[in-house]
Amino acid sequence: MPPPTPQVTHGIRLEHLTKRYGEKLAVDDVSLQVAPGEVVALLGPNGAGKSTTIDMLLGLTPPDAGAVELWGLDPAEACRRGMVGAMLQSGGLLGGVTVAEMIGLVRRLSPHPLAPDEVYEMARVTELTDTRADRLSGGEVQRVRFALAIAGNPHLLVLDEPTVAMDVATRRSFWEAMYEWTSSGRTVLFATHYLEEADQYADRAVLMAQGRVVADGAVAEVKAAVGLRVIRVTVEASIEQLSSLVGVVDAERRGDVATLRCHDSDAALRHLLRTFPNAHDIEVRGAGLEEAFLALTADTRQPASIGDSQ
Amino acid sequence: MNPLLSLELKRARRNRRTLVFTAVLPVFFFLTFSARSSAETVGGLKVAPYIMVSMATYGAMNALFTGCGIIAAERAVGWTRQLRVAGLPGSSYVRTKTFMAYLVATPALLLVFLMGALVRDVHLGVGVWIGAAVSILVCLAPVAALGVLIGYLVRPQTLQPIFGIGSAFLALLGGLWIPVSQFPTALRDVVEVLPTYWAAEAGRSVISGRWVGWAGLCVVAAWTAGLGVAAAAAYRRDSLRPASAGAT
Repeated sequence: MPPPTPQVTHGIRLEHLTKRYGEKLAVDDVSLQVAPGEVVALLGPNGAGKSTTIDMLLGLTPPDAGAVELWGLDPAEACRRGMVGAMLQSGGLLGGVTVAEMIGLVRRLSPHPLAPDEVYEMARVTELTDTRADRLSGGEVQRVRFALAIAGNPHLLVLDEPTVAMDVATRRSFWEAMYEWTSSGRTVLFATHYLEEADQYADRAVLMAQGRVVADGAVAEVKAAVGLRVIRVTVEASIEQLSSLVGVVDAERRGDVATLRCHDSDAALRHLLRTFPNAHDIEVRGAGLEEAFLALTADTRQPASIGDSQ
Repeated sequence: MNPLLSLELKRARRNRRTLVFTAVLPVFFFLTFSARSSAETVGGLKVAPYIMVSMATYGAMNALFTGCGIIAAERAVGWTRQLRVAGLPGSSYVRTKTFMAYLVATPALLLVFLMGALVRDVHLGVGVWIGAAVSILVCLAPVAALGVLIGYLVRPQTLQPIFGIGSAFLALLGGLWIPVSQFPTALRDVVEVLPTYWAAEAGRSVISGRWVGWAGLCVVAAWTAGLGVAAAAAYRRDSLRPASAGAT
């Protein structure tokens, strides 16, 4: 009988990562495990610590405390072995060289690169290969950066807010390319502050706020947990009265205008109109992630374990 | 060959303007300052070879300073981070940039020598030409280290003024623009602790068949070691800091 193949159960393993910049605790005791093949969205508002976590994960910033392992290796070693591809927020291009030359460089640095045509096709840069990096448009730059991230045929692809500067059409085509990549069973971690991107492309969402993981679970569950709605209404009622309405999490008011954060806005609205028939100028909208995070972090300082994804 | 080096070579071949710009000022200065009084001697040499060495050193110095300092710009756009994730160790990156800076410095220096030979009748043996060129380039190592240090310390916006002021400072105080013999006595002591002065002196001593002396070599070695350690510290500090401070 052949010896059993050692099974790597964790692609990414972050253990109690902590990073402080001066007074600010950028990342506060973050632990996270990602299995090979998982597509994980790292969600959070600006300042949540997503980029710092990613920098530590890639070995670009050493943590003050805690440990990082990628497939059981130190991140720098994993990078040297061509196991990691990344599209970083400030991942720039070199002037004076062509797209093909730059992709060629990353391919030559990896022991197991993708074929050039495969990279070009997947990143939709075939028509750009002879263009010099300093002559690319904004959308083209993003495609080239994606090409550089995948050219080494990495085990792990890390994307730090990849669509932040993209227009709608570019964004869609980017995610199509990403989807092709993930369908081959590869591990992806992407940071975003768009809930809908996590919803459509990730298996799992990890929510960060104020440097901590506040929720971690299947996307649908996380979405339900943060899927708050906000009702704005002009009404004569006290905060106490409004807060006690069915489906309302909390309420605040400025003059006559009250803002109600709801986990069930339908029920809240029915109750509101029954109780205060003269309520008017009613507006219902989905809460932004920031509001959702505020609600989550206000409830508890402990990470909420949602579902059973692990 | 290091994959980055082959890419940089292609880039340099395409970007020959850099080479021309690096060489044009020293060549112009040389031809201007050596135009008259060819019979006079400065520091034991005729005017033409003396100024030739000064300007060759000046050109090579600029190429090394800017060639290594440009790391600041590549850091700022995140190219160095990209390379690190792609698996190129930071030390290979620094070595490649330094090598490329020398590759631009060498023709800048040789072009001034060529002008000396063709236009100003400086006749030397092949070994002397090579010996002078190599001595100058080796003794300019502290300038390369200074470039790397600046590359890891400053923001790209401040790069231009630092290149301008730093280069003028090193050239003027190193006696590359004005012969040191014309300096006030008090200033001469300052000059003799600067590596750029000794780089040119090393070239001149080869031409006049002298030994440059231990004092000069010690100055060069001390600057190389000191700036090398500072550059390494700045490099390590940089790896500890995200490129876009404030973003998360």
